Amino acid sequence: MISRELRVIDLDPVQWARFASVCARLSGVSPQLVLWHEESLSRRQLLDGRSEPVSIFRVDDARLSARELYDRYHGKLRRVVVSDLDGYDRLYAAQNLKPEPNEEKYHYLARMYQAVCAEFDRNVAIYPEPCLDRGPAAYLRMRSFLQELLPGPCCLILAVFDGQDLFCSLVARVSGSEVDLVAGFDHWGDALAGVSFSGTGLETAMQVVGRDYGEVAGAVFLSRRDFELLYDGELHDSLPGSAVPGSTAYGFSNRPDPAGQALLCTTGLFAYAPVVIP
Amino acid sequence: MKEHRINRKEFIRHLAGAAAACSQVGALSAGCGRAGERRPVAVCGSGFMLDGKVHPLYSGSFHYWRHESPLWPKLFFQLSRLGLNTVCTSVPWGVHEVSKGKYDFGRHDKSKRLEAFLDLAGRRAFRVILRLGPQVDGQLTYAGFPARVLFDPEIAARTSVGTMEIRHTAGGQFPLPSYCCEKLYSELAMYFDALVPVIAGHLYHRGGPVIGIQIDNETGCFPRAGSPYGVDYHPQALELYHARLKERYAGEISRLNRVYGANYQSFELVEPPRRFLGETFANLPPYLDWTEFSEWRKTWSLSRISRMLAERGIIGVPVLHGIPRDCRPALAIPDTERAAGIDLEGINGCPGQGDYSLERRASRTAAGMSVYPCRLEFGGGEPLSISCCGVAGEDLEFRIMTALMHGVKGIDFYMAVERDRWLGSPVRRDGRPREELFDSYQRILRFLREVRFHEFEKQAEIIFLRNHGLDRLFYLMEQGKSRSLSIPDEVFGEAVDFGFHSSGETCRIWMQQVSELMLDVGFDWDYGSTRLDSGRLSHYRTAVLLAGDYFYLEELEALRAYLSGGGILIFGPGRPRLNQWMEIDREVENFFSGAAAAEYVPEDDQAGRPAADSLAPGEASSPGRLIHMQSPIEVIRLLKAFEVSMPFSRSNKSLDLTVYRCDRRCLLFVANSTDKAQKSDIFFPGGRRFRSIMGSGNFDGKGKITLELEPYRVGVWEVS
Repeated sequence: MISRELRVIDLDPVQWARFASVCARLSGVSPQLVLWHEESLSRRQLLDGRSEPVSIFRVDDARLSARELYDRYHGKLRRVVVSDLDGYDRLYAAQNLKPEPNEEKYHYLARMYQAVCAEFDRNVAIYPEPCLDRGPAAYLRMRSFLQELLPGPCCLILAVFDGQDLFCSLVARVSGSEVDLVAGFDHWGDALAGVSFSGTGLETAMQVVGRDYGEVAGAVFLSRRDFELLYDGELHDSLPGSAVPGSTAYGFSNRPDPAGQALLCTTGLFAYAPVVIP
Repeated sequence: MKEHRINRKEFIRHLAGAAAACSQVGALSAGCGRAGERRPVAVCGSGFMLDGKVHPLYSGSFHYWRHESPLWPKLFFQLSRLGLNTVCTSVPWGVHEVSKGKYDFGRHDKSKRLEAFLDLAGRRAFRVILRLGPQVDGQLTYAGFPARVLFDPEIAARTSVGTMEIRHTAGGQFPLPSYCCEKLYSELAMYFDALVPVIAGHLYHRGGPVIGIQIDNETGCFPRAGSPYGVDYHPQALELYHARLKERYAGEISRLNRVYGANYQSFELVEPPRRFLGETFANLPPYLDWTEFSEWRKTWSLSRISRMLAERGIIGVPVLHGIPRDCRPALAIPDTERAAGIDLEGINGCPGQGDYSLERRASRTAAGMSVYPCRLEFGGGEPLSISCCGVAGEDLEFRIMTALMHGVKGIDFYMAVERDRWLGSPVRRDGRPREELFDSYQRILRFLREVRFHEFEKQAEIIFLRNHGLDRLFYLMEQGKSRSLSIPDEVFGEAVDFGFHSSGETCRIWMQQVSELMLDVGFDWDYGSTRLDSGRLSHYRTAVLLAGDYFYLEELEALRAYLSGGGILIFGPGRPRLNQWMEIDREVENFFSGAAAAEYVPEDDQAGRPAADSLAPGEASSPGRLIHMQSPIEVIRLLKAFEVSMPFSRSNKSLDLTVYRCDRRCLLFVANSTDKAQKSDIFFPGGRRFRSIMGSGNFDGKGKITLELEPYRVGVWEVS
């Protein structure tokens, strides 16, 4: 999905900061709870790195305790880790699987998460299990989008607007189903400096970007509000129209796009490349 | 394992003089200037000495190999407009290596024409610092290494649980290399064999623009590799560990057994700790030794790389190294600059928003520790991450000026020219300036040039000595090994009562309270460590030392010399009696028990003066004063009693002041690190004129002026 030689160029720092601040919510809003126990007795509990009183005194089965703690916080947590020192060492070993020299980044992460989950037992567990989904589109959906619909050289465009002002812009160049370059509109200087939030603006962006990066397979212009609704930490089914009722958006896809899935994936891609949220 | 005993500096000495060495080595290199035309470059407190003239380091990073060569002149033009006098570039092994043993320095890919780049830099009057790696980071997928080297299982570092240690980058993952592995060095030697002839003729003393060579980057501190029980447990790392123990225990395994409470038959059988299980202070020596070894192997690696370059003809220019901004690695700066073949160790780091106090500490640390206080990889934009904040010009100025006001004299703006996986540089990849940022850099660099900032010295009379041995205690208790599932290191950290009179926690609080009180009063100080030699210490009239129950014997010598030179050494909260092996040690005990027991200093300054004078000197023959202070408040009273100089003071404690002097010229820096405008009276003796250099408003006043500073602003006035 991601080229090992991925290039990320010409991002306007202010635009990137805006995009990043929305993305940060995917990992930053919900805290993580870690409970350390030894021989079933709880020793220390930390909520996002801050020590707090232990909620569970005995850990007979880490898998159950992790689930119980997660439920106690009524879904306000991103993740619960329950472990003793031996379990921690096992997690540590599982996180350090040997990568293959040309292994794709997310392929490795998928293997690594699988190895981590295989270590869960009465002494160590993480709930919910770590998974690769991030942004509005699930990892598997994103992978099949790239593999099945974008085998040849092409590019995808996302621009977000605050009123008529460009909030952020990202272009991905795809080659052999792998993203090998991400750029911002700044790459094209004046040619895209005044692009408007309109169908005409979308067409202009497609023409300018297409001249450099080849066929435009998908392009989406979104309002900031809709963008924030899509990047809310939940998975979404489509865009726009159904997932974002009443929104104003402009989109183009020259791929089969049942229920706006190609447009969703065009929007969601940038949560995987260049952003990686643990 | 073959161990070379000669270090880089000794190597140079053995070459019977720099001129002879230059002609000897220069003859091997194509395109060399005439040997002896220029003198070798040296580092001094104001910059790089080039033929007797000081060249302050105002550098910007520009990676030639990331830009098409026809663009280089335009990029140099912009850097020149910016006001930089030096460019810094990495020369990544992984970029130039085509396949094992084959390298491209521009024959095939024009953007890799290193010599053309150096020639152009020279023609545009830039000096150059080359970063030769092997690790250059640069947000490269393989951090500058060739992938084949990293994926060689023989070279990969090993964790305490027997696996490789994996690093994640924007492009993928790779195993960290072991810097203790011989094969890594033999691979690196091939690269250096090919690289050195390309650059040797471009060194300054051979007529070229290269004034410094930076090796590796943040050695031993790869993200996630900084924990005590993470890496490196590579078999050859353990061989080195055993050799180090043998040296530390003078070859006596019985001595180690006595200290460890163990029964090893030989040093080769000693098991390194793989997690912290200590309960009393008697259990600490194996962990302290492991931690000391981890620090030592960094200097060992650097020394080795430096020597490899010297042996191939890279001599006559200073060798640099950059460390991360965290305090811990900075404690070893004196060791590195003294022993590792490294002439200058700078502190990396891009200051973030709200980082004022961190930045102040890092800059004071550079000022106190290094021969030339330098920030490398500093603040020219941001790496690509979701914590990017999109720096605006004013923020940027505040961050850079914060570093300068607290002691930094040389800077490399990283990256001055934007590139792949980096954003917010003053010059875009295509040469267009980012106007607002560009203007800010221009303004600061103009200020540095116009006032001749390099000629000024910060007037700090106090050095706060962090205790390297105690710092190891804080570090060795960290059980955290991995952050890849966001499990914070501190989860498995506990406050353990080792049975010390002054616990680690007591020491930590003492240091924090003393610092806060010193800030409150308005003292300026630099940070040092117990690794500083007496020469450096002697620059300061007063040293404040964090002390617990134990002290490393080898660190006493510099303190003794400092006292002999008339220094005032105030220590607390503990009064050490033990050495690093947790044995009651007469030498340690005698030294610290010789201190005056100044448990109380009268609050009133006038009354305080005689009280301070009456304090007993340190060891009998010492003209200096050694004073034990348990209470942080008393430390402050004592500093006041000793009349530590504060030529300017302020009514508003939200503002920070520092003073720089050069002969009779005086610069006053005032920082407002809050989000509100701050007004303050500034007090001083006599009548003074304040001419604004960076900031707003000129003032004349007798005894006092009143100024107001915008939020997040550093103002500078020349005071006469």
